[in-house]
Amino acid sequence: MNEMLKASIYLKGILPLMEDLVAFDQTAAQAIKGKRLILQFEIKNGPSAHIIIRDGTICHGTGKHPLPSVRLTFKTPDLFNRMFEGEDVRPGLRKGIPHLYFLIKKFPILADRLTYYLEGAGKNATDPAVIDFQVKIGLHAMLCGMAAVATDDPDLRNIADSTPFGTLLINVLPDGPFGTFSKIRQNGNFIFSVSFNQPVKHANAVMEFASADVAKQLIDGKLNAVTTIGLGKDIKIGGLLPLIDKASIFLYQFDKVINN
Amino acid sequence: MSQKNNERYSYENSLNLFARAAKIIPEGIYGHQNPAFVIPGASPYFADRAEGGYFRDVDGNEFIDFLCGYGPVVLGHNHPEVENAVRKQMAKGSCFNHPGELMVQLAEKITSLVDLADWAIFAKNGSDVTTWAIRVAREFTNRKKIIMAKGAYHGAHAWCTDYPGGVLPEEKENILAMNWNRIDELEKLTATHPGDIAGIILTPYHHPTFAAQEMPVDGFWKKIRKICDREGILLIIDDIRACFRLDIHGSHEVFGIKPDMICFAKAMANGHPISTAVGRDRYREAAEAVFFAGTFWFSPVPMAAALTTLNILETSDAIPKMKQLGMRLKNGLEDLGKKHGYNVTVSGPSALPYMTFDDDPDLYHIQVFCREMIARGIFLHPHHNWFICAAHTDADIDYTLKTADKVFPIVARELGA
Repeated sequence: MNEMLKASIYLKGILPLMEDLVAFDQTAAQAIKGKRLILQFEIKNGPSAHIIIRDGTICHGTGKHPLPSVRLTFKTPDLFNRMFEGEDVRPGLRKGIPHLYFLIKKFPILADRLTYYLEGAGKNATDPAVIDFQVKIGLHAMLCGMAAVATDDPDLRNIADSTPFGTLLINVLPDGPFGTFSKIRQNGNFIFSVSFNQPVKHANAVMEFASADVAKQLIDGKLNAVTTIGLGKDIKIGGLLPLIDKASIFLYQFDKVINN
Repeated sequence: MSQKNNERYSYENSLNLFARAAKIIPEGIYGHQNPAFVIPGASPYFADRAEGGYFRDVDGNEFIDFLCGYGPVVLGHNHPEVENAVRKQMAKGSCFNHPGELMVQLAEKITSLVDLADWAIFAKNGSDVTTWAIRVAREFTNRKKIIMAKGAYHGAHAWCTDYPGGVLPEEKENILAMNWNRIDELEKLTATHPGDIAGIILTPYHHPTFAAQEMPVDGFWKKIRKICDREGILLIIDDIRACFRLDIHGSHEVFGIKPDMICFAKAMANGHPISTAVGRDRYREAAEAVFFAGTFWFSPVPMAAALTTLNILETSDAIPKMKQLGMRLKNGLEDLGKKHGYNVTVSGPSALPYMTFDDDPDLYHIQVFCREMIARGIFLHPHHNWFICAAHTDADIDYTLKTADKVFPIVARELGA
């Protein structure tokens, strides 16, 4: 297992879900109530990301923030991954002693609530609002995870190179959520980017789920995407299929890394 | 069997069968025949029978078959002479401890047809022979690296597949890629890896999926040959797809290529499973050093089919007929496109045409076009080149064009011209 890739996926694919979590879950919202800080995660010789906690919201960003309130540094990606998976790991605290209480007592609440919806008892919820939320964070994780793998997996560099430029729109009918995974040109090279519930000007390829229920089944691993597409009803695809083809390779790898 | 009427087709039996298949077969239908590669939910998934230039699916829908089993069917499905030869051999047996006389006869036939062929070996699929051929190049040169064109398909083996599942990076580390028609990139690769390139494997013309086909630019093959001679690199032609459809002596004759080895498969036994690699005498020793075996490769049944097919292709007007029918289809579709406000291009040799809309980089237009043609009994693949066979008729082309005349406006209504 490539620990650095896993760390990248956690930082770029899972950490962004905190944004959605505090907007939906009361317990999580309570945990950050009144807090105002910028929490930065850094892995030595590896990826970094930060979250900005302010006014009851969380905003995720990749890379280092110029003025973090707290800097958590990890000597190895393995240490970060173990912490992310709930083990009692002490990162280096470079900055932010005044926020120690929040880090020890409140931040784990966010992680616990996310786990509740993704893997815990909340996974079997029947409340439509919870299901909609799970679809939302599931789709968000898929998109961010695909981009993390496409950007950082050394074994899939050839696949990233040969991925066609363009935007794949993934949409849940009838009312969303929806998001995009794009390969775009930048400074003579390319990057992978995602958007979530933002207006889409043109999609080069489209994947549509017939309902939130179908999307949830796929996210929960209860539905095989390839055969469901073949059945022609619950998941429809169209447009630039090579883009969908490559995105599905990144998605498969994302799933493999976080479940191993 | 003949093409059906004006009803729009539906595919309930295909879909039901696929649902059953999905329970006990990974992906239901895997590889290039997976439904996602065509038009999911709007094309047949399972075939029932075929005759001449037509096939029938499990829903009883009949189609003019412009895919021909992805190429092997060159004379038409269920060709009486070929099938008679097959039945005769089947009556004698199909799997022996030893090859039959037919293997020698077939090798004699192929070496007499293909100018550079001093020897021939046989297998079952294209991948078998392309993979073996690059090993022969490595054995002959004592070098490691192989150059191929980006987007080219040489089979599903680890060295050449685009898909990473189960493939080790080490299996790809000696494979280099150049863009089609880019001699400058080839020069760069040979300069970067001097004395380390064993072979270049290329198709006679470029036939990627999801894109228009590309012919070689003027002087391409002469330059390739010159570089190979200068650098001591073997030139392997992967003629699996076009095979003997363009020329009974091989596609290299059409394009003026002077290869060292050639791989053939699809259009040599009219649908029966056999492939062959041929080469010059100087590579025989290396060929003998590369172990090559497969349980079913010596079966005389496909060899009987191959001998009969090659004889018919050699003595009939099948090859010029396919060329002429393909040209009618190409010109007709391009004219109809214009009539309906589209610039469409039918690329590739006329016997293996593929249509693209010029302003359709995302493939939406070709997908709607093919969906509607399929629904009216004309099987055109939206992402892979098409095939003309000798059983197709002028009436089939007329009907196809008449249908396309109705379908272009549907594309316009759905997506805009």
